[in-house]
Amino acid sequence: MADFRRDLVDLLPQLRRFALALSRTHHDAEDLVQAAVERALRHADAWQQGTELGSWMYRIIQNLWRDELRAHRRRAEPLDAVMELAGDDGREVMFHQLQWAEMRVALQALPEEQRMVIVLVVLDGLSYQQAAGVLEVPVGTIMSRLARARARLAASLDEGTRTRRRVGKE
Amino acid sequence: MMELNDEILGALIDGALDDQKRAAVEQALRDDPGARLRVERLRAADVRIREAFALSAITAADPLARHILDGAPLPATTLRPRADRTRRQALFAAALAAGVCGVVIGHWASLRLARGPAAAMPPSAAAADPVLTLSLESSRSGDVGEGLGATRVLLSFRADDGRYCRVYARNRARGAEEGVACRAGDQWQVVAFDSTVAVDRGFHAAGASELIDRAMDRLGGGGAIDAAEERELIQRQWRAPESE
Repeated sequence: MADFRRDLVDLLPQLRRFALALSRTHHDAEDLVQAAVERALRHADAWQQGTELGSWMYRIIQNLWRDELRAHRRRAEPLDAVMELAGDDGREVMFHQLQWAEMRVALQALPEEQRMVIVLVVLDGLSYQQAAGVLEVPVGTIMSRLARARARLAASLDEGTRTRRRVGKE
Repeated sequence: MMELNDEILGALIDGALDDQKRAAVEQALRDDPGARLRVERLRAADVRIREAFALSAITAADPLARHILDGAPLPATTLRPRADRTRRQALFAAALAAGVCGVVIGHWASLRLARGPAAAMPPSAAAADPVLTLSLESSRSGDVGEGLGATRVLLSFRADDGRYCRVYARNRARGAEEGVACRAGDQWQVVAFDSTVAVDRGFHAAGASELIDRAMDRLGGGGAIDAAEERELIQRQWRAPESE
Protein backbone atom coordinates (compact mmCIF):
# COMPACT_ATOMS: atom_id res chain seq x y z
CA MET A 1 0.00 0.00 0.00
CA ALA A 2 2.92 2.36 0.68
CA ASP A 3 4.22 1.84 -2.86
CA PHE A 4 0.75 2.40 -4.23
CA ARG A 5 0.50 5.70 -2.41
CA ARG A 6 3.96 6.78 -3.50
CA ASP A 7 3.19 5.93 -7.12
CA LEU A 8 -0.06 7.84 -6.87
CA VAL A 9 1.78 10.95 -5.67
CA ASP A 10 4.27 10.63 -8.51
CA LEU A 11 1.38 10.54 -10.96
CA LEU A 12 -0.31 13.69 -9.65
CA PRO A 13 1.22 16.10 -12.21
CA GLN A 14 0.03 13.95 -15.12
CA LEU A 15 -3.36 13.44 -13.55
CA ARG A 16 -3.79 17.17 -13.06
CA ARG A 17 -2.82 17.86 -16.67
CA PHE A 18 -5.22 15.21 -17.91
CA ALA A 19 -8.02 16.55 -15.73
CA LEU A 20 -7.36 20.10 -16.89
CA ALA A 21 -7.58 19.03 -20.52
CA LEU A 22 -10.83 17.26 -19.74
CA SER A 23 -12.57 19.84 -17.58
CA ARG A 24 -10.87 22.99 -18.94
CA THR A 25 -10.72 24.81 -15.64
CA HIS A 26 -8.15 24.53 -12.88
CA HIS A 27 -10.81 24.44 -10.21
CA ASP A 28 -12.68 21.52 -11.74
CA ALA A 29 -9.43 19.77 -12.59
CA GLU A 30 -8.24 19.91 -9.00
CA ASP A 31 -11.59 18.67 -7.73
CA LEU A 32 -11.60 15.89 -10.29
CA VAL A 33 -8.15 14.68 -9.32
CA GLN A 34 -8.99 14.85 -5.64
CA ALA A 35 -12.18 12.86 -6.15
CA ALA A 36 -10.30 10.33 -8.28
CA VAL A 37 -7.60 9.95 -5.65
CA GLU A 38 -10.18 9.44 -2.92
CA ARG A 39 -11.90 6.78 -5.00
CA ALA A 40 -8.57 5.10 -5.82
CA LEU A 41 -7.60 4.98 -2.15
CA ARG A 42 -10.98 3.48 -1.23
CA HIS A 43 -10.71 0.86 -3.95
CA ALA A 44 -6.97 0.29 -3.98
CA ASP A 45 -7.53 -3.45 -3.79
CA ALA A 46 -9.34 -3.28 -7.15
CA TRP A 47 -6.17 -2.16 -8.91
CA GLN A 48 -4.21 -5.09 -10.26
CA GLN A 49 -0.52 -4.87 -9.62
CA GLY A 50 1.49 -5.05 -12.80
CA THR A 51 -1.07 -3.05 -14.75
CA GLU A 52 -0.66 0.62 -15.51
CA LEU A 53 -1.69 2.68 -12.51
CA GLY A 54 -1.84 5.75 -14.74
CA SER A 55 -4.31 4.14 -17.13
CA TRP A 56 -6.47 3.07 -14.21
CA MET A 57 -6.47 6.59 -12.79
CA TYR A 58 -7.24 8.15 -16.16
CA ARG A 59 -10.29 5.93 -16.46
CA ILE A 60 -11.45 6.88 -12.97
CA ILE A 61 -11.09 10.57 -13.84
CA GLN A 62 -13.03 10.11 -17.08
CA ASN A 63 -15.81 8.24 -15.32
CA LEU A 64 -16.09 10.88 -12.62
CA TRP A 65 -16.23 13.63 -15.19
CA ARG A 66 -18.91 11.84 -17.21
CA ASP A 67 -20.95 11.39 -14.04
CA GLU A 68 -20.55 15.07 -13.29
CA LEU A 69 -21.63 16.08 -16.78
CA ARG A 70 -24.60 13.74 -16.66
CA ALA A 71 -25.67 14.82 -13.21
CA HIS A 72 -25.51 18.54 -13.87
CA ARG A 73 -25.65 18.87 -17.64
CA ARG A 74 -22.55 21.00 -17.35
CA ARG A 75 -21.22 22.73 -20.37
CA ALA A 76 -17.66 23.53 -21.23
CA GLU A 77 -16.36 26.48 -19.27
CA PRO A 78 -14.07 29.10 -20.76
CA LEU A 79 -10.42 28.37 -20.33
CA ASP A 80 -9.13 30.03 -17.20
CA ALA A 81 -5.48 29.14 -17.62
CA VAL A 82 -4.60 31.83 -20.09
CA MET A 83 -4.71 34.77 -17.76
CA GLU A 84 -2.39 33.08 -15.32
CA LEU A 85 0.45 33.46 -17.75
CA ALA A 86 0.97 37.16 -17.11
CA GLY A 87 3.42 38.32 -14.49
CA ASP A 88 6.97 37.87 -15.75
CA ASP A 89 8.92 40.69 -17.32
CA GLY A 90 10.97 40.56 -20.48
CA ARG A 91 9.93 40.53 -24.11
CA GLU A 92 11.26 37.04 -24.77
CA VAL A 93 9.40 35.58 -21.82
CA MET A 94 6.26 37.43 -22.80
CA PHE A 95 6.57 36.23 -26.38
CA HIS A 96 6.75 32.60 -25.25
CA GLN A 97 3.96 33.12 -22.81
CA LEU A 98 1.76 34.39 -25.59
CA GLN A 99 2.59 31.36 -27.66
CA TRP A 100 1.85 29.06 -24.75
CA ALA A 101 -1.42 30.85 -24.13
CA GLU A 102 -2.35 30.40 -27.77
CA MET A 103 -1.60 26.72 -27.63
CA ARG A 104 -3.54 26.26 -24.43
CA VAL A 105 -6.52 27.95 -25.99
CA ALA A 106 -6.05 25.94 -29.17
CA LEU A 107 -5.97 22.66 -27.26
CA GLN A 108 -8.95 23.53 -25.16
CA ALA A 109 -10.89 24.49 -28.26
CA LEU A 110 -10.62 20.93 -29.58
CA PRO A 111 -13.44 18.46 -29.04
CA GLU A 112 -13.01 16.43 -25.88
CA GLU A 113 -12.07 13.18 -27.63
CA GLN A 114 -9.30 14.96 -29.54
CA ARG A 115 -7.99 16.70 -26.40
CA MET A 116 -7.74 13.38 -24.63
CA VAL A 117 -5.72 11.82 -27.43
CA ILE A 118 -3.31 14.75 -27.56
CA VAL A 119 -2.73 14.58 -23.81
CA LEU A 120 -2.21 10.84 -23.76
CA VAL A 121 -0.04 10.48 -26.86
CA VAL A 122 1.73 13.80 -27.37
CA LEU A 123 2.07 14.92 -23.74
CA ASP A 124 2.23 11.66 -21.80
CA GLY A 125 3.95 9.67 -24.53
CA LEU A 126 1.58 6.71 -24.47
CA SER A 127 1.67 4.37 -27.44
CA TYR A 128 -1.36 4.20 -29.68
CA GLN A 129 -2.25 0.85 -28.14
CA GLN A 130 -2.04 2.23 -24.61
CA ALA A 131 -4.13 5.28 -25.48
CA ALA A 132 -6.68 3.03 -27.16
CA GLY A 133 -6.85 1.01 -23.95
CA VAL A 134 -7.42 4.08 -21.77
CA LEU A 135 -10.09 5.55 -24.03
CA GLU A 136 -11.55 2.16 -24.92
CA VAL A 137 -11.54 2.82 -28.67
CA PRO A 138 -9.75 1.09 -31.57
CA VAL A 139 -6.19 2.12 -32.51
CA GLY A 140 -7.48 3.42 -35.84
CA THR A 141 -9.74 5.82 -33.98
CA ILE A 142 -6.77 7.08 -31.99
CA MET A 143 -4.89 7.72 -35.24
CA SER A 144 -7.70 9.59 -36.92
CA ARG A 145 -8.47 11.71 -33.84
CA LEU A 146 -4.80 12.50 -33.46
CA ALA A 147 -4.51 13.54 -37.10
CA ARG A 148 -7.50 15.86 -36.85
CA ALA A 149 -6.29 17.34 -33.58
CA ARG A 150 -2.76 17.93 -34.85
CA ALA A 151 -4.07 19.55 -38.01
CA ARG A 152 -6.11 22.00 -35.99
CA LEU A 153 -3.28 22.73 -33.60
CA ALA A 154 -0.88 23.34 -36.45
CA ALA A 155 -3.42 25.67 -38.06
CA SER A 156 -3.76 27.55 -34.77
CA LEU A 157 -0.02 27.86 -34.53
CA ASP A 158 0.15 29.25 -38.06
CA GLU A 159 -2.67 31.66 -37.34
CA GLY A 160 -0.98 32.88 -34.17
CA THR A 161 2.28 33.44 -36.02
CA ARG A 162 0.51 35.42 -38.74
CA THR A 163 -1.31 37.51 -36.17
CA ARG A 164 1.87 38.38 -34.30
CA ARG A 165 3.59 39.33 -37.56
CA ARG A 166 0.66 41.52 -38.55
CA VAL A 167 0.59 43.21 -35.16
CA GLY A 168 4.36 43.66 -35.21
CA LYS A 169 4.14 45.52 -38.53
CA GLU A 170 1.42 47.91 -37.34
CA MET B 1 2.98 6.40 -54.81
CA MET B 2 2.28 6.34 -51.09
CA GLU B 3 -0.29 8.79 -49.81
CA LEU B 4 1.24 10.90 -47.05
CA ASN B 5 -1.80 11.97 -45.07
CA ASP B 6 -1.78 13.37 -41.55
CA GLU B 7 -2.45 9.96 -39.99
CA ILE B 8 0.66 8.47 -41.59
CA LEU B 9 2.76 11.54 -40.83
CA GLY B 10 1.54 11.54 -37.24
CA ALA B 11 2.42 7.88 -36.86
CA LEU B 12 5.89 8.66 -38.17
CA ILE B 13 6.28 11.47 -35.63
CA ASP B 14 5.05 9.20 -32.84
CA GLY B 15 7.32 6.31 -33.76
CA ALA B 16 4.28 4.15 -34.34
CA LEU B 17 5.31 2.72 -37.74
CA ASP B 18 7.12 -0.57 -38.14
CA ASP B 19 10.54 -0.50 -39.80
CA GLN B 20 9.30 -1.34 -43.28
CA LYS B 21 6.52 1.23 -43.23
CA ARG B 22 8.77 3.89 -41.76
CA ALA B 23 11.38 3.36 -44.48
CA ALA B 24 8.68 3.65 -47.14
CA VAL B 25 7.33 6.86 -45.63
CA GLU B 26 10.79 8.39 -45.33
CA GLN B 27 11.48 7.52 -48.96
CA ALA B 28 8.21 9.14 -50.02
CA LEU B 29 9.05 12.23 -47.99
CA ARG B 30 12.31 12.68 -49.83
CA ASP B 31 10.30 13.18 -53.00
CA ASP B 32 7.65 15.40 -51.45
CA PRO B 33 8.84 18.74 -50.07
CA GLY B 34 5.28 19.75 -49.22
CA ALA B 35 4.85 16.70 -47.01
CA ARG B 36 8.24 17.38 -45.37
CA LEU B 37 7.06 20.87 -44.53
CA ARG B 38 3.84 19.39 -43.16
CA VAL B 39 5.80 17.09 -40.85
CA GLU B 40 7.77 20.05 -39.55
CA ARG B 41 4.57 22.00 -38.85
CA LEU B 42 3.03 19.09 -36.98
CA ARG B 43 6.23 18.57 -34.99
CA ALA B 44 6.35 22.28 -34.14
CA ALA B 45 2.78 22.10 -32.86
CA ASP B 46 3.76 19.13 -30.66
CA VAL B 47 6.70 21.06 -29.22
CA ARG B 48 4.52 24.07 -28.43
CA ILE B 49 1.87 21.94 -26.81
CA ARG B 50 4.48 20.26 -24.61
CA GLU B 51 5.85 23.65 -23.61
CA ALA B 52 2.41 25.03 -22.88
CA PHE B 53 1.43 22.03 -20.76
CA ALA B 54 4.72 21.29 -19.04
CA LEU B 55 4.27 19.28 -15.88
CA SER B 56 4.45 21.06 -12.56
CA ALA B 57 6.47 19.50 -9.78
CA ILE B 58 4.88 18.16 -6.62
CA THR B 59 5.94 20.06 -3.52
CA ALA B 60 6.12 18.70 0.00
CA ALA B 61 3.28 21.03 0.96
CA ASP B 62 0.94 19.77 -1.76
CA PRO B 63 -2.26 19.03 0.19
CA LEU B 64 -3.33 16.15 -2.03
CA ALA B 65 0.10 14.50 -1.81
CA ARG B 66 0.00 14.90 1.97
CA HIS B 67 -3.44 13.36 2.02
CA ILE B 68 -2.26 10.37 0.01
CA LEU B 69 0.87 9.80 2.06
CA ASP B 70 -0.18 10.86 5.54
CA GLY B 71 -3.96 10.96 5.49
CA ALA B 72 -3.98 14.75 5.94
CA PRO B 73 -7.54 16.14 5.67
CA LEU B 74 -8.70 17.62 2.39
CA PRO B 75 -11.17 20.39 1.63
CA ALA B 76 -14.55 19.30 0.33
CA THR B 77 -14.75 19.19 -3.44
CA THR B 78 -17.63 20.35 -5.55
CA LEU B 79 -17.55 16.97 -7.27
CA ARG B 80 -18.82 14.01 -5.37
CA PRO B 81 -19.15 10.43 -6.42
CA ARG B 82 -22.50 9.73 -8.05
CA ALA B 83 -23.46 7.37 -5.26
CA ASP B 84 -23.15 10.19 -2.75
CA ARG B 85 -25.46 12.59 -4.50
CA THR B 86 -28.40 11.41 -6.49
CA ARG B 87 -29.46 13.10 -9.66
CA ARG B 88 -32.79 13.87 -8.02
CA GLN B 89 -31.19 15.64 -5.08
CA ALA B 90 -29.26 17.81 -7.50
CA LEU B 91 -32.42 18.52 -9.49
CA PHE B 92 -34.42 19.41 -6.41
CA ALA B 93 -31.66 21.65 -5.13
CA ALA B 94 -31.46 23.45 -8.47
CA ALA B 95 -35.23 23.72 -8.73
CA LEU B 96 -35.51 25.03 -5.21
CA ALA B 97 -32.86 27.64 -5.92
CA ALA B 98 -34.76 28.67 -9.02
CA GLY B 99 -38.03 28.87 -7.14
CA VAL B 100 -39.77 26.18 -9.17
CA CYS B 101 -39.86 23.40 -6.63
CA GLY B 102 -42.75 22.68 -4.30
CA VAL B 103 -41.02 20.79 -1.51
CA VAL B 104 -39.18 21.37 1.72
CA ILE B 105 -35.92 19.51 1.47
CA GLY B 106 -35.05 20.02 5.08
CA HIS B 107 -37.29 17.13 6.02
CA TRP B 108 -35.44 14.57 3.96
CA ALA B 109 -33.03 13.15 6.44
CA SER B 110 -35.35 12.54 9.37
CA LEU B 111 -38.18 11.27 7.22
CA ARG B 112 -35.99 8.86 5.34
CA LEU B 113 -35.44 6.98 8.58
CA ALA B 114 -39.15 6.63 9.18
CA ARG B 115 -40.02 5.19 5.77
CA GLY B 116 -41.08 1.68 5.05
CA PRO B 117 -39.77 -0.37 2.13
CA ALA B 118 -40.40 0.91 -1.38
CA ALA B 119 -43.43 -0.42 -3.15
CA ALA B 120 -43.23 -2.30 -6.38
CA MET B 121 -44.43 -0.27 -9.33
CA PRO B 122 -45.63 -1.12 -12.80
CA PRO B 123 -43.10 0.05 -15.42
CA SER B 124 -45.48 1.99 -17.65
CA ALA B 125 -48.86 2.32 -16.08
CA ALA B 126 -51.01 4.94 -17.81
CA ALA B 127 -52.05 7.89 -15.73
CA ALA B 128 -55.71 7.00 -15.97
CA ASP B 129 -56.50 9.12 -12.94
CA PRO B 130 -58.09 12.29 -14.43
CA VAL B 131 -57.09 14.43 -11.43
CA LEU B 132 -53.49 13.40 -11.74
CA THR B 133 -53.56 13.82 -15.52
CA LEU B 134 -54.99 17.31 -15.23
CA SER B 135 -52.40 18.24 -12.67
CA LEU B 136 -49.54 16.94 -14.77
CA GLU B 137 -50.90 18.69 -17.82
CA SER B 138 -51.59 22.13 -16.44
CA SER B 139 -50.08 22.72 -13.00
CA ARG B 140 -46.92 24.67 -12.46
CA SER B 141 -44.36 23.13 -10.14
CA GLY B 142 -45.21 23.95 -6.57
CA ASP B 143 -48.81 24.92 -7.25
CA VAL B 144 -51.74 23.12 -5.71
CA GLY B 145 -54.57 24.34 -7.86
CA GLU B 146 -58.19 24.42 -6.82
CA GLY B 147 -60.00 21.24 -7.57
CA LEU B 148 -56.82 19.30 -7.95
CA GLY B 149 -57.10 17.70 -4.55
CA ALA B 150 -53.84 17.07 -2.79
CA THR B 151 -51.81 16.50 -5.94
CA ARG B 152 -48.78 18.68 -6.38
CA VAL B 153 -46.22 18.70 -9.18
CA LEU B 154 -42.77 19.08 -7.70
CA LEU B 155 -40.60 19.74 -10.74
CA SER B 156 -40.28 19.12 -14.46
CA PHE B 157 -37.33 17.93 -16.49
CA ARG B 158 -36.57 16.48 -19.89
CA ALA B 159 -35.32 12.90 -20.05
CA ASP B 160 -32.46 11.65 -22.20
CA ASP B 161 -34.92 10.27 -24.76
CA GLY B 162 -36.51 13.70 -25.21
CA ARG B 163 -39.68 13.08 -23.22
CA TYR B 164 -40.85 15.70 -20.78
CA CYS B 165 -41.25 14.26 -17.32
CA ARG B 166 -42.67 15.55 -14.05
CA VAL B 167 -42.16 14.49 -10.48
CA TYR B 168 -45.35 14.66 -8.47
CA ALA B 169 -46.60 13.95 -4.98
CA ARG B 170 -50.04 13.47 -3.60
CA ASN B 171 -51.65 12.56 -0.36
CA ARG B 172 -54.13 9.77 -0.77
CA ALA B 173 -56.52 8.09 1.60
CA ARG B 174 -54.11 5.20 2.10
CA GLY B 175 -51.05 7.40 2.47
CA ALA B 176 -48.65 9.60 0.55
CA GLU B 177 -47.45 8.79 -2.93
CA GLU B 178 -44.62 10.13 -5.01
CA GLY B 179 -44.15 9.40 -8.67
CA VAL B 180 -42.60 10.29 -12.00
CA ALA B 181 -44.73 10.63 -15.09
CA CYS B 182 -43.53 11.26 -18.62
CA ARG B 183 -45.40 12.64 -21.58
CA ALA B 184 -45.66 10.00 -24.33
CA GLY B 185 -47.58 11.20 -27.36
CA ASP B 186 -50.73 12.84 -26.05
CA GLN B 187 -50.74 10.99 -22.76
CA TRP B 188 -48.96 11.05 -19.47
CA GLN B 189 -47.55 7.75 -18.34
CA VAL B 190 -46.49 7.04 -14.80
CA VAL B 191 -43.08 5.46 -15.13
CA ALA B 192 -42.48 5.04 -11.39
CA PHE B 193 -44.31 5.62 -8.17
CA ASP B 194 -43.76 4.89 -4.53
CA SER B 195 -46.72 4.83 -2.19
CA THR B 196 -44.71 4.45 1.00
CA VAL B 197 -43.23 7.93 1.26
CA ALA B 198 -43.59 9.62 4.61
CA VAL B 199 -45.84 12.47 5.58
CA ASP B 200 -44.88 14.85 8.31
CA ARG B 201 -47.56 17.07 9.86
CA GLY B 202 -49.60 16.64 6.73
CA PHE B 203 -46.78 17.73 4.46
CA HIS B 204 -45.43 15.37 1.89
CA ALA B 205 -41.65 15.17 1.97
CA ALA B 206 -40.27 14.74 -1.52
CA GLY B 207 -36.94 13.13 -2.02
CA ALA B 208 -37.43 10.26 0.39
CA SER B 209 -37.95 7.51 -2.17
CA GLU B 210 -35.03 5.48 -3.43
CA LEU B 211 -37.34 3.96 -6.00
CA ILE B 212 -37.94 7.37 -7.53
CA ASP B 213 -34.21 8.11 -7.31
CA ARG B 214 -33.44 5.08 -9.43
CA ALA B 215 -36.17 5.89 -11.93
CA MET B 216 -34.84 9.41 -12.38
CA ASP B 217 -31.31 8.13 -12.82
CA ARG B 218 -32.54 5.81 -15.54
CA LEU B 219 -34.40 8.63 -17.28
CA GLY B 220 -31.33 10.86 -17.20
CA GLY B 221 -31.70 14.21 -18.91
CA GLY B 222 -30.90 17.75 -18.02
CA GLY B 223 -31.61 19.99 -15.08
CA ALA B 224 -34.96 21.09 -13.77
CA ILE B 225 -36.95 23.12 -16.27
CA ASP B 226 -37.28 26.71 -15.12
CA ALA B 227 -40.59 28.46 -14.47
CA ALA B 228 -40.69 30.39 -17.76
CA GLU B 229 -40.04 27.34 -19.90
CA GLU B 230 -42.51 25.35 -17.86
CA ARG B 231 -45.23 27.94 -18.53
CA GLU B 232 -44.52 27.71 -22.25
CA LEU B 233 -44.65 23.93 -22.17
CA ILE B 234 -48.00 24.00 -20.41
CA GLN B 235 -49.31 26.35 -23.08
CA ARG B 236 -47.92 24.08 -25.81
CA GLN B 237 -49.43 21.07 -24.07
CA TRP B 238 -45.97 19.67 -23.52
CA ARG B 239 -45.07 19.41 -27.17
CA ALA B 240 -41.42 19.84 -28.08
CA PRO B 241 -40.47 23.13 -29.77
CA GLU B 242 -41.10 23.11 -33.50
CA SER B 243 -37.44 23.79 -34.15
CA GLU B 244 -36.61 20.26 -33.01
